[in-house]
Amino acid sequence: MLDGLINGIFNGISIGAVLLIVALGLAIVFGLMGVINLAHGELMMLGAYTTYVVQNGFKSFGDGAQDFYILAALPLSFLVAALVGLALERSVIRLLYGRPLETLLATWGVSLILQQFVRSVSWAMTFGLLVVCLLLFGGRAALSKLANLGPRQKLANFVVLVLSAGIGVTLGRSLNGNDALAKPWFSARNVDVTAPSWLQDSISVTDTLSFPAARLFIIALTIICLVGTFWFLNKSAWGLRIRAVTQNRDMSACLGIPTKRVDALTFALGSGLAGIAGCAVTLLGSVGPNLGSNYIVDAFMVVVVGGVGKLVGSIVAALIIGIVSYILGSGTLVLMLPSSEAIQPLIDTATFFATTSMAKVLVFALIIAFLQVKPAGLFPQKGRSVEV
Amino acid sequence: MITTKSVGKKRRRTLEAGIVIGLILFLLFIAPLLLTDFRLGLLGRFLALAIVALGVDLIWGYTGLLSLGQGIFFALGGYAFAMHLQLNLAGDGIPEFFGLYGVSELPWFWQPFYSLPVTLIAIVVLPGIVAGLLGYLVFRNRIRGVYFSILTQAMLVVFFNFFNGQQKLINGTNGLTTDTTLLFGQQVGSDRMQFVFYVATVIVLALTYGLCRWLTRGRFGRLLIAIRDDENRLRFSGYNPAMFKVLVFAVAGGIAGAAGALYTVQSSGITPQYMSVAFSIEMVIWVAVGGRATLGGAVLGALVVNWAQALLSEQFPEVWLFFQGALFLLVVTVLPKGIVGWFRDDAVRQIRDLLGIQPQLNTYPDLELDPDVKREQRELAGK
Amino acid sequence: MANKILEIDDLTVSFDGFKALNNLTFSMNEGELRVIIGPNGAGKTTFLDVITGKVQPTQGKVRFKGKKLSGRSEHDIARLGIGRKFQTPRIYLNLTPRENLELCCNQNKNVLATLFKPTPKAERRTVGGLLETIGLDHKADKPAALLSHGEKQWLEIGMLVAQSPDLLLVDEPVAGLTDDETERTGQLLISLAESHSVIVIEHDMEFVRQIARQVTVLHEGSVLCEGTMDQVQNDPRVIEVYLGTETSITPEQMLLLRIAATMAWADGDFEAAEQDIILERLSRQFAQATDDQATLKTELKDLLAKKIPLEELVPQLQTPAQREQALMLSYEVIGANQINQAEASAYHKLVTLLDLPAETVSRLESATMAHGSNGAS
Repeated sequence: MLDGLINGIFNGISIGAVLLIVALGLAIVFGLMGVINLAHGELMMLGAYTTYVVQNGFKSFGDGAQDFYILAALPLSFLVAALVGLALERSVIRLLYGRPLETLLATWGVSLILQQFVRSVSWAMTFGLLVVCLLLFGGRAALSKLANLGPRQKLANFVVLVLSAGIGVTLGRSLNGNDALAKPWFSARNVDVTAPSWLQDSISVTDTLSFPAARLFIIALTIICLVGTFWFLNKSAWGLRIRAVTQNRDMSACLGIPTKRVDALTFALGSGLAGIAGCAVTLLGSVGPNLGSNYIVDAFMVVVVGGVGKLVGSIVAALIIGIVSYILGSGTLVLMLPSSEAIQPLIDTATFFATTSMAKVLVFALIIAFLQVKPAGLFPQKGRSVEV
Repeated sequence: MITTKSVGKKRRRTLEAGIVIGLILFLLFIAPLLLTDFRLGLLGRFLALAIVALGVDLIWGYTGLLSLGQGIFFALGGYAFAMHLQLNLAGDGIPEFFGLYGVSELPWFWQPFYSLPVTLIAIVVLPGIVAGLLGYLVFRNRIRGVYFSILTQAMLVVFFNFFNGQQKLINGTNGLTTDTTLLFGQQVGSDRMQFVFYVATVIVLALTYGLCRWLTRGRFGRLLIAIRDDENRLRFSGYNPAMFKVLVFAVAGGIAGAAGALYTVQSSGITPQYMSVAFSIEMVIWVAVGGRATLGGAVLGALVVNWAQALLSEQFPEVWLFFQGALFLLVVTVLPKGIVGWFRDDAVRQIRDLLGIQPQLNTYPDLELDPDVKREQRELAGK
Repeated sequence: MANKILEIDDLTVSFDGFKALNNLTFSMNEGELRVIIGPNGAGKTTFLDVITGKVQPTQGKVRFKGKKLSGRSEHDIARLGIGRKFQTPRIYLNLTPRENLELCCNQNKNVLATLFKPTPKAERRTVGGLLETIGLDHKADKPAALLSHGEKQWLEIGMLVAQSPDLLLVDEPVAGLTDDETERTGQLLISLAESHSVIVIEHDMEFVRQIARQVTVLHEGSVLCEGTMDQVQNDPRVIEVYLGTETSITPEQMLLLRIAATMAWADGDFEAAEQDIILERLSRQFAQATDDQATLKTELKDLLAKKIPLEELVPQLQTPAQREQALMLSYEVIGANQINQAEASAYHKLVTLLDLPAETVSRLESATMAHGSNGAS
């Protein structure tokens, strides 16, 4: 009985930790920048695929190396996701600040592209894309250096875009004729990442109670990420700038803070954390193009329940949602209820919701009920400026 | 001055009515002659999607509520109709699929759907009530903007999980098929019935258009725009925006329900996939492509995007997702007013701009006659 | 005794421990035009927020026409008859001015009534009349986004009136307006005050002077003082609050200073020599603050920066002794440099207004001359 409860709470905490590590990046991007990034899940997926690639790389070094791939995969996942996030911020999101609903749609578009990219990326496609980028940016730079076109500049840029896209696509398609080049790197099928052997064990506390090492690892990783993020935001110079820009963009710009660079950095940081989250979840299941979409809605719920802009809110919310989901979904609640006639309807209801997907239904109903009491989340921001 | 204005308004309204009636006649009498049965079926489904797009436009384009959960109401309408059809087929027994899960007794909530009139009402009213209720719980607390969008998406996931997980109640992930079922003694999947549904879709689309036009013009329509632009200001004028939003959200839910029912019978059945996250966001992009806050744009967008999808995914299934993703990006960044809005406001100027033709500047006429200005113009021309 | 339209009793609003309003007590009669001033952060806008229901009080009561307001939502309070104009104009840019006004004019604001009932003729007429009053009849059917800033301010005031509230709350109506527009806004508000109770929050003192009868000064979330414009302006506490330093001048001394300053400003230039005279005389007359004259000087420059019509100042002098003092100080001030035309005429006007016997004037003048040369030597 007690073991069951402890086990339930441990599993709940570990679900909460996964939620939290996913939601952490989201909380930064949403809380500090007000940007809804629906491609966050796909950045996670990129992190997961990076882990897969790193693991394959380590495999070639032999068995001994295999055990430590994760230590290399974590920073690399962070880096890949952060770079993609950076590119995303500079190319799309920058145009859409102050238009949150449009950002939401645009990032959804990005997430579609990233998903399909992972499914169909091959050498042929990579070459094609490289050629497009080279021609496009090279052509633009050349045009602006060599010729002064005045009002026709826009038309010229458009023509360059069409031409380079055309050449790139043609090249890509012709390369597709070669089977080796046309073979997709990952394809649409899920791939498996084998956890290092030291994470496949369980740590037993008593005879009936044991904690899987992978889950403990994720909890530890989440704590490290949290502490790191907290330190970065509250103690470092860039963190101070980020907070300054969050509170008053114009004033910060007047004080000489490079607000655009701060935006890019903040977004890259949030994206990088998504990459780490992606790396972490490879320990729990297989990796596929849809990996991110399974987590994203839950992660948003964590941010909404916690209260936007507060890390501590996200932490508490993630733990509560994790524990409640597990206790409902695993049927622990049913086991814990004393069986008596009087509460039979309650037991029936609990049984009805005792699957993972039905637990989600109930948890959401609880969230809606909670928002009736505290619409701004657990830790709302107060003051005159909150709602204009 | 007021009279000329109202005459202009009246003329515009007559013109609009004329165009709408013309299009209805075209869809009813000419399109069936031009298209094969397969293509006509596609058109019918797309027109059903255009209906839901009108609802999305009503809440997003006019009222500023970006719902990512219209799929819930769409699917509820579809399920309501499919349940009736299943019961029709089963006659005195219970629908066949129940046998697979050992269910012998019809779940209670199926009972009302024996009756066709109740079903037809439920198709609209049930999603409407669900939307109104969810809307009330959310709007009451002044949850709005992106929070509303996220919550609607979460609701969608929850409904999906529910329908997907309950085999014993509504056949879970397999959904309900309709094409083998019977309505008025005819098989729903037959060409004749499909044509009937096509005609029904055109009529419902026209009625929905009329309803949305009625809602968006006049005082109520202006109030919706006011809610979109500055909801809080409205409170200080004595309006309670929450109730207006609940009403509009419920209406859009009802519209989505009707669309869902018509779509279901024209595409051989319904599955929980109608409540996938992607599908609901696509509904938004149709409106964005066509032009939000223009009813014609919503219809146009739904048709254009879906035709493009049909054509592209027939030929290059891989490319479609790239194309769709790019569409989201482009519409938001380059074409924020959509096709209709672009034609109305910017088309002429931007094409000129692109071609590098200097726009004609309007200045004051007496300024042009000023000798100094003339001299300067000559000098500039000489340069 | 007139009915109280608004009574506020011991009101406190705190945000996370910071008290935006602190035991504020305030009341106002029906039909009154009240101006509220106060330095930044005094709680003026929060004060309006509480009345309109945007912020719920932490403690204390607000009563409007005897009805308690706490717990009511914004739209409910608006329907009771309180209208509000915001600091920056908040109008609907995508609607035309006519539509903006019609939206507010609508008497039944329920959902179904708005949907099904057409706009009544009477409301259309009201809107037409209002458009003329606020001078937007020729732009009535263009999108409000095309209006100038001043026109937007006026449109919002018009929207407020269309709502036909009993109490109008107007937050900084002349921010960003030209002098001419400010003047007309003032007239509009005064005419509105004939049939409504009005609370105006404003920073522009010239404007406050134009419209104000009763002024309330807020400071750090509570009422600092109340009274007519002149009483308030000469209240040392108010001066202290606005200038941030403690001054120990009494209201009477302040009045003298103002008259002298007005004389000094007569030629449009407040010269250093003139300032020195005032300061010197101050220290002699009031025998204070001699040790840090530099600070006092800058302070006084702020304090005396405005030219105020002599006609308003002089009648407030109560005793003949004060009048004599005023004359002497003024004479000395303008005598500090070459007396020019403007100064001479201002001085002449002062003498007429002071209405002192001719021999007293010449006696004082010669006394001052002698005094002044003594001081110089």
